[in-house]
This record gives sequence, structure tokens and C-alpha cells, in this order.
Amino acid sequence: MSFRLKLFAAIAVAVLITAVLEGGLDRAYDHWHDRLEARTLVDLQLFTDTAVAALDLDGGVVGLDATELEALPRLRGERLRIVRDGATVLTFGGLFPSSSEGWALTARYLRDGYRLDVALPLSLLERVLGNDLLLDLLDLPLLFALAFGVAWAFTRIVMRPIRELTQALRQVSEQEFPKPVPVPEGEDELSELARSFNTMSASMQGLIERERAFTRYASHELRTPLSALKVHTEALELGLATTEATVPVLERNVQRMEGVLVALLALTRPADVDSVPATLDQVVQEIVSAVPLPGRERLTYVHRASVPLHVANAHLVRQAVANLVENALKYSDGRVTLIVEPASRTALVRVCDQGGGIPTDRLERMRKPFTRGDHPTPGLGLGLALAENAVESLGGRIDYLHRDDGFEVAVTLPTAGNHQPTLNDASKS
Amino acid sequence: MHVLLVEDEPDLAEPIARLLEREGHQVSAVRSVTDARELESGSIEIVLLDVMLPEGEDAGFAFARELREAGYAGKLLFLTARDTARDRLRALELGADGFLLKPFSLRDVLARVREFASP
Repeated sequence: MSFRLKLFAAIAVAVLITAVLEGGLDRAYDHWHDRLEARTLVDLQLFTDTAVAALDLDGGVVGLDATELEALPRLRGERLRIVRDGATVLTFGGLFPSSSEGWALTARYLRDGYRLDVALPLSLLERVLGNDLLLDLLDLPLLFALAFGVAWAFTRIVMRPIRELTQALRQVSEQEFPKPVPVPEGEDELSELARSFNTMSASMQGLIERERAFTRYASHELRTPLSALKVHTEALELGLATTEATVPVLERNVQRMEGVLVALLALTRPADVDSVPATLDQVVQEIVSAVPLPGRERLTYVHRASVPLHVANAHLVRQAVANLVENALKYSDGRVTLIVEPASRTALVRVCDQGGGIPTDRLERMRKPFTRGDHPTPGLGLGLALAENAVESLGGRIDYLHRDDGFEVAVTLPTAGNHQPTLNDASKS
Repeated sequence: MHVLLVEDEPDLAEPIARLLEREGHQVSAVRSVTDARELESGSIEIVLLDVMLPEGEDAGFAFARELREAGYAGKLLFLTARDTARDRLRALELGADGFLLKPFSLRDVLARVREFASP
């Protein structure tokens, strides 16, 4: 049931209950009113008949046998009078009331011009029930209170998910990430809101954790070269080293810090997907020629495609493949072979070395350095993460293969026209 | 005194070793736990130990435990870029006498070694 429908149902039920109660009260009032009126009439009738029977009008003198009246079972202060020619000739029970206020009155005409007037006092209930306006004034606040109570109870039930969401939002604003809020059953606006909130909360939490991991990683990665700079400067001051020996160390460590900084910033920025198309051969040739000696001497490039393989974004391909080649040269001895070949509607770039490769447990952390909740693994370099990021943006993938003669990293890239859009693309649009 | 320095960054290890040698200490500088194990450790009185070494992220801690279990009772100073409370606690549990956080200065290292060497 949708939230709108629930709200509507709650209001409808409140109104219905109020209406039923109002109807019920009216019926109860009518019932009691009728019963009291009937009883009053019966009492009045009985008293009047008894009085007539107890009267003695013979002989010009009016007599009343009061014992018969006093023997009546339900006496409640009835009064009577006998009137002839406007003058009261006999009374019983006290002064006869001058108005009908609070009394039920009846008259019976007798022989010889006599008239019997009977007055029966009405009880408080009879008087109240006789006054419709007073009754309405009494039952109106009662019904209002009831309607309010019912509406309040229903609102609390219907609004519970919103209260939970509000509380969770407050926690998020204080950067305390709550557990996922319960998603109400069904497919209404509220369950959709709860689901969206849970997704947003998880994504924000991931973002903040990534940010924290990034800060930890950055601080760690920068500490070692900074330490080298500090120590060598001091060594120079203390006369432990010469300027000629120190300058290359300082340059090397400044470059290292710069490299870490550039890589970290590249990883935290959305991948650059500005399309600069090129052939894969062109890109790989550039990478090979940019490799400094003596590493380049260990590198062999094999191009196995009979037709040019076009890639949509030369920059991202270069970023990925260059990092993989650099890793292979850095972490293995012997030859490194770079192979470009066509595959089914894709292109394959294989970086094969003769080393032992990366242990599986390290590999996962190197691929996604900031996506885990625990500490990132500093000191392992960011090249692989950069390559993964770039290839993922291109809609490709990287496979890692331990072979008998070494380690192979295979990059599958969509050739131009087969680019699969990814989240990074979506974030750019 | 005989100082063992286990640090895989030559840019850091080299000036530290030179400084300590000028102070009159005998320094054995190695770049990995594997190299450290090959040394004759009987005369070592001070160990300066990095935590992340080629053998692993916690190789320094593991080597410290190994040393202590083998009966090493000398001074132990960690030199590391890892600054979490958990790391410091772990160092203390291993009976570390100090914890120098990178970027440290040569003077910091010198001060701690002088302190260890004083009778």
C-alpha cells in the first residue's frame, strides 16, 4: 500500500470511527430518552389512576384515601390537587408546582366540574435527556477527544518510518553513520525513500572512509622520502656528507614525493575520459620509447594485429599500460615482452615478465588501495591502482596470470566503437 | 657498541650508519630481515629496526619477536612511518625501548643511541 494510501486510510478510519461513535451515542441517547419517557408516563398514569380510585366525590365533600397512594411501589414525590371552578379544594404531597419546569404534568377531568392535576418530579437524568442542546454540548468535546486520539495513534504508526529516517539523517549530518534504516514493506514512496537513504548513507560512508584511507596512505607514502630529505640535509650540516653526494639523493626523493602526489591525485579525481582516439600501436610505441635506459634494453614489443586497432582514449591507455610496463621492469629481472593482439571485438595488451609475479593477497590491495575498510598497504606503489582505474574507465579489464615462465598482466580494451560506458563516464556527463 | 640497523631505504640507512660510526659505534647495516638473520648477533647491543621490510608489512615486528625469543635483551628502537596507536602498542609489547616516527632527524637517532649507550 502506498504511503499516500496509508495516510488516506488513516484519516478515513479516524473519520469513520468518529461517525460511528457519534451515531452510536445518538442511538443510545434516543433509547434512554424513550425508556425514561415511557417510565415517566407509566408512573404518571399509575399515580393518576390510583388517585382517581382513592377519591370520594360523593356528598359534596371531596375525600381522599391517602393510604392507597402511599402504598404505590415507586413513589418519588408526586403531588396532586383537586380544582373546581378555578379554586383548589384539596392537595396531596405538598404545594403543587406553578410551572412545568422539572415536572411532568397531567390533568384528569372528573364529574361535577372537578379536575384532578397530577405533577411528577423529573429526575436529573430525565431533565438532561430532555435537553438536546445540553446533550450535544456534552458529547461534542468527547467526540473531538476521541477523534483526536484515533488520529494521533494512526499518525504515529504511519509516521514511524519518517521518524526513523529523520533520526538517521541527523546521525549522518554528524558523520556518525547509522545502520541501514528498516525498509517498510511494499513498493511505496516511503520504502523507496528508505532504500535511497540507505544507498546514499553507504555511499557517503564509503567516500569518507576512502578519504580517511587516502589521508593515511598519503601521509605514510610521503614520510619516507621526507625523512630521507631531512636526514641528508642534516648529514650535510654535520659534515657527514658532501654536497655532490647529497644533491642527487635530494633530487631523487623530491621526485619520489612528486610521483606519489601525482599518483594520489590522479586516483582521487574521476578518470579523464576526454576522448583522444589513436591506434593501439601508436600508443604502445610511445610508451616503449619513453622507457628510460637501461630498462628499455630489456623490453621487447611484439605487434600481432594485421589491421590497426583503434582505442577511444589514448591518454587512459597510456596511463594503464605505462604503469604495468614500469612495474614489470621494476619487480622482475630478465626480459619483459609487450604484446598487442586482436581478440573478439577487443584488443589485448599483454605485459609478460620472467619474475614471480605478485602474491594474490597483495594483488587485491594493490588493485584497490582505498576501497577496503582496513589500512591500505603503503609502500606497494600506486601504479597498479592507476592502471585499474584507467582500464575500468575505458570499459576494459585487467587479468593477472601466473605462468610457468613468469607473470603476465593482460589488459583487455574495447576497440573504438565498442566502448562500454562505466560509472566514471556517468559521473562526467 | 655494536649497532644493528635494519632499514631497506638506502637513502636513510646510509647517513644513519655514517653518523653512528663517527660516534664510535660498530654498525651492521642490512636491508632485510633475511640479511639480518645471517649476521652473528651475539655482540649486538642496540637494534634500530624498520617495520615494513621486503619480507612483509610487519616483518620488523616479526623479527623483533624472533630476537626477543632468541634471548636478545639489548635495546630496541623502531624507525617507522606507521603511526597508529596499534603499531605503538605492538612495539611496546615487543619490549621496544623507543619508537621514532618518520620523518625523524639524525639528531633524534643520535640522542636515543647516546641514551642507550650511557651506563
